[in-house]
Amino acid sequence: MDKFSLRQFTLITFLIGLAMKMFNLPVLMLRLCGRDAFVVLLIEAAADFVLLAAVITIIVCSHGMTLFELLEKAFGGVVTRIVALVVGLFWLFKLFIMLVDVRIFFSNTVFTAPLEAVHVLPLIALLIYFALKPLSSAGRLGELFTPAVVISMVLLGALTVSKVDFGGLRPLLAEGSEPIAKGLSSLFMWFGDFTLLLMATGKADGGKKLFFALPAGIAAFACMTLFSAVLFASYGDMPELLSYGHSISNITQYAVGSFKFGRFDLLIFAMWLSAVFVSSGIIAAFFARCMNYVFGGKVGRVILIVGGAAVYVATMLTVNLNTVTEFAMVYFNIPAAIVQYGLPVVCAIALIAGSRKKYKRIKEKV
Amino acid sequence: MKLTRKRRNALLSGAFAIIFIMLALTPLLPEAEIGTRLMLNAVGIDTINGQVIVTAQTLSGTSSETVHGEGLRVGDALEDIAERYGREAELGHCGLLVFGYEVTADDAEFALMGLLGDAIVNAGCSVACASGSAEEFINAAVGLTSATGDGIADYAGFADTSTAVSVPSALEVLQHLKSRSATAVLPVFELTGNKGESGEGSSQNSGTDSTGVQQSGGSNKTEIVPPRRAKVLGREDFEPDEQAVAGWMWISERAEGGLTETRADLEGEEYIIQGSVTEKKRGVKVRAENGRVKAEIKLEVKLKFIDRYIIIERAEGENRLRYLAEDLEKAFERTFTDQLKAAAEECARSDILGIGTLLYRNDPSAYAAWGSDMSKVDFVFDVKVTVF
Repeated sequence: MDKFSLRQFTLITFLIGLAMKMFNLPVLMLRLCGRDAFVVLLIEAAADFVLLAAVITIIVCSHGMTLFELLEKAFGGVVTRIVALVVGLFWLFKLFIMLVDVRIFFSNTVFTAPLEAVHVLPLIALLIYFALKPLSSAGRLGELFTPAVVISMVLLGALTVSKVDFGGLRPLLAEGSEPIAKGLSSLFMWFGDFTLLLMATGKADGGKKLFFALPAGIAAFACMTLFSAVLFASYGDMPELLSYGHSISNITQYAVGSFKFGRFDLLIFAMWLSAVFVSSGIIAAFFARCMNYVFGGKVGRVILIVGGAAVYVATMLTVNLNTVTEFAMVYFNIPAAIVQYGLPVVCAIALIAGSRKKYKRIKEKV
Repeated sequence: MKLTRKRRNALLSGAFAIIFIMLALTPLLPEAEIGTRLMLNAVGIDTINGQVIVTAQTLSGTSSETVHGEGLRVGDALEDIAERYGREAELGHCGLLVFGYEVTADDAEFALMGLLGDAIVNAGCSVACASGSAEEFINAAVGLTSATGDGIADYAGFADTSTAVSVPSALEVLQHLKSRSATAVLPVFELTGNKGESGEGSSQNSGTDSTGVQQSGGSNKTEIVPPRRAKVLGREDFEPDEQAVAGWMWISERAEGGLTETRADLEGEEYIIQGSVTEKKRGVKVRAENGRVKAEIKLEVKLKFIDRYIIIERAEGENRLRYLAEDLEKAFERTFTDQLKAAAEECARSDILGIGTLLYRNDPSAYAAWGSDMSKVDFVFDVKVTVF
C-alpha cells in the first residue's frame, strides 16, 4: 500500500528532522559563525517548523490528490514535469551530499582510511530497492528504527549534558549580526528536509490529525538544538579544533571517565545512523517518484538506476570530501533554498488555483 | 516451500536485526584491536629543548609496562613509540595525561590541541602535573599501581572523586587555556621516596624498563601523594601557595568535597578542628561597575567534624553545643574566606578564578574596556558554613 499511516508519518517526520543535521552541520555552523551558530540554529529551526506546518497543511488540504496531480491540475502537465525534474535532480544531489557527509564522518571517526567502494555500493543498491517499494515500507522501517534512535538520543544526553558548562554559549552576538547573516545565507542545503514529506500528499491517513507530526518535528529540533549547544558551548573558544566529520555523536567523548567504558559513541552512532538510512531512503523514493512521473514506467526505473550509479561514481571519485561540503555551501545554497522552500509555496499556489477553478465550475453549473 | 509474505518479512526483519546487533556490538569486541595496538592507560609528556618526550603506561589484561617515544610533537612521539615497539599506540582508553613540572601554558596547549584535534585522546581524559619529570612519575607510578591491577588513571580518578582534588579533563584544560582568562590549573601529583621495606607494589614491576630507567624496587618505598599542590599555566606559569590552591579547589566545580581544618578559640582554649566537606555550592558572579569589575565569590558548605568528641566533651552537661557550633562555623568561614582571598590574590599573576571569561560572557564591551587589568577587580566574598 503506497500510503503512510498517521503514526508512520509522525515518526518519519521525527527521523527526517534529525537525520542530515546530525553529521557535519553543527561543526560547519561553529566554524562559520562561532558561538552565534546557536542563534542561527534557532532561526533555521523556526523556519523549518514553519515549513513543516506548511507541508502538513498542503497534505491535509490536498483532498486526496497526489503531489503531481495537484500541480498538474493547476499548472498543466508540462510545467509539472519541469518542476518534478528539477526537484528530483536536486534531491539526488542532496543524497550525494548526504553520502559525502556519511563518508567524512566514517573516515574521521571510525576508519583510519576513507570508505572503500565496498561500503557504499550495497548502501546505494539498498536505496534503489527502497525507492521502488511503496511508502508503507518506509513507514514501517521508520517504526522499527525510531525506538533505536530515541534510545541513542537518551544515552547521548545522559552521558554528556550534565558535564557541560552551558555558560560557554555566551556571549551571543558579540561580533554583531554578521556571523548570523553568514550562517543563515550559507547552510540551506542542510535544512528544509521537510519538503520531502510532500511526497505523502494524498498518501497519508489521518486528515487533520497529521498536525500531530508537529510535536515530532519539535522533538527533533529539541534534540538537535540541545546536542549542538553542547558542541557550541564546549568548543566556542576553539572552533579550529573541530574538523569536518566531528559529529554530534562524538560529544560522548566529553563525558568524564568515558575512557572507562570506551568508545560508547560508536554504539550510539550505530543506532542514530538508522535515521540517516531511512531519510536517505525517502530521498531516493522521492527521486524515483519524480523520475517516474517525468519519464513514466520503465524509463523512470532506468533513470533511477542511472541516478544511483551516478551518485555512486561521484561519491567514489570525490577525493577531497571537504571541498564538496564547501561547494554545496557556496554554489548550491540558493538553489537549495529555492527548491526546498519554494516547492511548498508552489503547492500552496496550486491548491488556491485549484480551489478557484473548482469554485468557477460550481458557479457556472449554478 | 513457498514463503508467505508475512514469513518473508519476518525473515528479513530477523536478518536485519542480526546485522544491526553485530554492527552495534563491534565497538565492544575490541580483541583484534588490542592484539595489534599498544593500549596506553596513562601518558606522561615532557618537553625538553623543544623535543617532546612521551612516557606511557600500557595495559594488556593485568600486565603493564612502560614505553617511551620522542619527537617534535606529541603525535611524532607516538609514532616513534609505534616504530620502537612495532605496534601503533592507541589512546582511546587513556585516562590520564601527566605533564612534567616544567610544562608551560604554550606546551600544554600545543600538546592538547594535537591530541584532541586529531581525536587521538578522549576529551574526558584527566590531566595532571607531576612534581618532577613526567617520565619519572610514570615509571614510578606504574610499579605502584600495577600491584593492584589498576592503571595510574584509576588512581587519578579515585583522587578526583574521593578527595579534595579537582583533576580537570583534557577538554576543560584546553577550554580554560583558550578562554579569555587563558589560565588553567593542574593538580600536582607528588612522588615521595621513603627508606623502608620493599613495597609490594614496586616488586611487580621492578628491574629495568625498556629505556634502562631503574624502577622503584629494592629498599626505597615510593608513594604517590594525593595532590595538595597545583601548577598554574597562564600568562605566568607558577605554583601558588597552599592557601591559594585550597581556595581554588573550593571554588572549582569538579571538587565535590574534601578535608579542611581550622583553628578555633573555644572559651580561651585554642583547638585545631578538622572537618569534612559533604556538600558544596559555589559560584562566581562578575559584573562591570563604575569602570571597575566586581567579582562576587560565593561558597556554601556543609561540614562534618572529624574530631566530634572534642566538641561534645566541651559542651557536655552545659547544653552549649549550639553556641560552640556557631563559633566553629565562624572559624571555618574565616578559614575558607582566607583561602579564597589567597586564590583571588593570585589572579594578579594569572586569572585562576576565570574572572575575564565570566566578564566576557556577561558583557563583551565591558570586557574590552577592562583590558584584563586585575587591579581593577574588587572581590567580594560570601562564605557560609553549616556544621553538623
